[in-house]
Amino acid sequence: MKIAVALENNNGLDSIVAYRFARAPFFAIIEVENGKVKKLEIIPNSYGGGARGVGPAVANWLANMGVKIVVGPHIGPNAAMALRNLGVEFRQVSSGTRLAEVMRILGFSM
Amino acid sequence: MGEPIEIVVASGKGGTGKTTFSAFLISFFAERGIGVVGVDADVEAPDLLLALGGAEEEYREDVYDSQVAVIDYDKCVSCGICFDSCRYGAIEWRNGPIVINEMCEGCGLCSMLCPVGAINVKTIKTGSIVFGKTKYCDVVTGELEVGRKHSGRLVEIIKNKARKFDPSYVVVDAAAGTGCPVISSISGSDFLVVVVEPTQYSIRTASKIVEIGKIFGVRMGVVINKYDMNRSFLNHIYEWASKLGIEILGEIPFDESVIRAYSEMRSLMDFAPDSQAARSMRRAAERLLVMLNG
Amino acid sequence: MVKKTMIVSVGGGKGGTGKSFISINIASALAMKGHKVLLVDADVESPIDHMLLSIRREKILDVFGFEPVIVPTLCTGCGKCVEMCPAHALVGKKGDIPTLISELCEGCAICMYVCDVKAIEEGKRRLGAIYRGSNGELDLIQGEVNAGVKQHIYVILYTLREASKVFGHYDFVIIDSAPGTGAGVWLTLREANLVIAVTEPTPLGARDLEIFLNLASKLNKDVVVVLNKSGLPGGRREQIVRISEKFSAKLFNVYYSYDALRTYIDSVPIVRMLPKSKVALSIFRIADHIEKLYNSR
Repeated sequence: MKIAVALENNNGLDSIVAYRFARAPFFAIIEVENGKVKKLEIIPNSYGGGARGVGPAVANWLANMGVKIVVGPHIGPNAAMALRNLGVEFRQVSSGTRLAEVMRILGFSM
Repeated sequence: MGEPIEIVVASGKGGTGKTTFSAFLISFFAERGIGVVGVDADVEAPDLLLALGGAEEEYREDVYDSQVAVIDYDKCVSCGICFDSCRYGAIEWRNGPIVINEMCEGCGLCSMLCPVGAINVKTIKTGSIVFGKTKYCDVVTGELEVGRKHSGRLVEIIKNKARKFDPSYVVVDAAAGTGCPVISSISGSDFLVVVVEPTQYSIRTASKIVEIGKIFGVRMGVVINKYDMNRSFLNHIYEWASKLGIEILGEIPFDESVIRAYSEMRSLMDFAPDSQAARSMRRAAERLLVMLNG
Repeated sequence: MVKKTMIVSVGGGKGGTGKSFISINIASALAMKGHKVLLVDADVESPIDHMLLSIRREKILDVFGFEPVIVPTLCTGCGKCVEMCPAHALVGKKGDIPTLISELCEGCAICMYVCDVKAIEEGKRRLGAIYRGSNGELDLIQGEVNAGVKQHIYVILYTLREASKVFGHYDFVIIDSAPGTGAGVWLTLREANLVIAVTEPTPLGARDLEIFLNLASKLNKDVVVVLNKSGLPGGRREQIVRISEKFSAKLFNVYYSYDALRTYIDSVPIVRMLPKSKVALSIFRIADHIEKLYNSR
C-alpha cells in the first residue's frame, strides 16, 4: 500500500509536515507491506505552483500513483472533495511534525 | 516556527470599514510586539498602506500569471469557429476582424479548435505586488492591472508572499463583494472577521460572506461599525448573528477621528489612540485575541 | 426626430462611496423630469437597488453556465478530460469514470471537446439570476450571482445582454456597476455614452478614483466626477479636484447630510422624499447636466 505525506522540506526522516497541503514543496511516498516500510522516496510536488485547482490536481496525481492514504495538515473543501471522490483516505497531522514521528503515529516500522 | 495564523477581514458591502479595522488590528498587534504582516487583498482598489500611515519604503514585483488567447491575423481566415465555441463571451465578431476581449480566460479551447492554428495562448501581466514597510510592519499589496480578470489568483500569490515573512499573524484586508478575490482571501484562513454597518443592505451581503466562511469551515466573528448611525437596527443584527451562531466581537461608533486620521495620512492608532473608535476597536481586537488563543 | 438612448454607467472604484445611492437618485431625478428611465443593477455580488427603491422584483431568467455531464456507459476512463481541464475540476484515476468538482468548474467546455468517444454532454450549472421590477416611475433590471460562484463576470455579461434587448424603449439607461476596476467593471463601462465616477473626499477615495479614471480613459469615455459626502469633516477635496482636472472631468459635489443617510436607511430616493434638500438639489443639477448632454447628441 502506498502512503503520501505532504512535506515542507527534504531532510530524510527529519523532514517536517508541510504548512499547506496542496502547495507542499515535497511529498514522501511510502510503500508499506505487512506494517513494514518497503520503500521510501521524497519527490518534489510539481503541481504545487499551479494557478488554480491545485488541491484536486495534487489529489489526482497522487491517486494515479496508487496512493491510498494521504497525510497532511488541514485541507480545503476542494482537496477534500477530490480525495473523497478518488477513494483516497486523508489523515491530518500537525504541520511541523517530523516524518519519523508521522510513521510512528501511523504505526509503521522501518 | 509554526504556520502564521491568518485573519481575514471582509464585509461584502463596500465602505463599511474593513480597511479601517484591518489597519487598526495590525497596529494593535505591532504595538504589543506581536509579529504581524498585513495583506491588502483589495487588488482593484488597494488602500491598506494608506490606512497605516503610508509606507516608508516600497519595492515592486510584476506578476505574469494571466493567460489570454491571441489571434495571429496573418493566419486567421475568419471562419468563426472560435467565435462559436467561446463560453465566456470573449470573442467578438461584428463586421470586421474577429477580436478577443477582456473576458478571455485563456482556457485554450479556441486555440485547440482553430483549423489554421491562428490562435495561441500567451501569458500577460496580471498586476504587481508591492512590498511596503510601514512603521508597524511589512505589508504586501496586490495591484491588479485595470480591466483584468484573475484577481483571485493575485490574492493567493500575495498571501503566500506574506507567509514567507514568517510572522505570528497575517491580517488580510479583503475586497468588497463576494466574488473570486474575496473567496480567495477567505480560503485557507483561520478566522474571518465580518464587518457590518447597521443597514439591511450591509446585512444582506454580509450573509453571503458568512455562507462562504461556513463553506471553508473558518471561525467567524462580527464587528458592527458606525453602530450609532442606526441604533434601531442593532437588535436585528444581534438576532441575525445569534441565528448564524456567530459572536459579536465589538461595536464601533461613528467617529470623525477616523476620517481625520486618513486625511492626515496617519493610522488611527497613531493619530487618535484614545478616540472612541480606537478604544472600541481595541476592545474588539482583545476579544479576537481571546477567541484565537482560548 | 427620436433621440437615441443614452447609456450612463456609474462606477468609482472604491466600494461604499455611494454609487448605488447616486445611481438610484439620478435615475429617479431623470424620471421625475418626465423621461423614460431604465436602471440596470449590475453589482451582481451584492445588488441592493431593488431594496433602495422598495421595488418588488421578479425573476426573468436563471443564468446558467456550462458544466460537463459524463455519460458512464460511454466513458472509457482514458483520463484525457482530467488532464486537459485547465481548472483541475475533474478528478479520476486512469480507468475510472472521472467526477466533477462543481465549485472549480469554469465552464470552458474543453472536456467536452477533447473527449474522443463523446462521453461528455452539456450540462447546466446555475450561476445566478436576472430580475426585473418597476416602481411606476422607473424600471429596474438586476443581476445577482449565487454566493460562492466564481463566474460573477459572466452573470454581469448576461445581465447587460438581457437588459440591452430593451434599451431602445428608454431615453436613459443608468447602469449601477460593481466596485473595483477589473473585467466586470470594464464590461459595464464598455457601452457607456457617459461615465459617472462616484468618489468621496478622503485619500482612499482619491486614490481609487485615479485608478478608475485610468480605466475609463483607456476606453475613451467622457467622465463626470461626483464627489459624494462632500464636506465630510476632515476630508480633503483638493486631491479630487486635481485628479478630475487631470482627466478633464467635470466635477459635481453632493454634500454629506444626515437627511441623505435617513432616506438611504428608509429606502426612499432623497429626490422624491426631500426634493428641496441640498442633496436633492445637487443631484438634480447632475441630472440637468446629463439631460443637456442627451439633447446635444
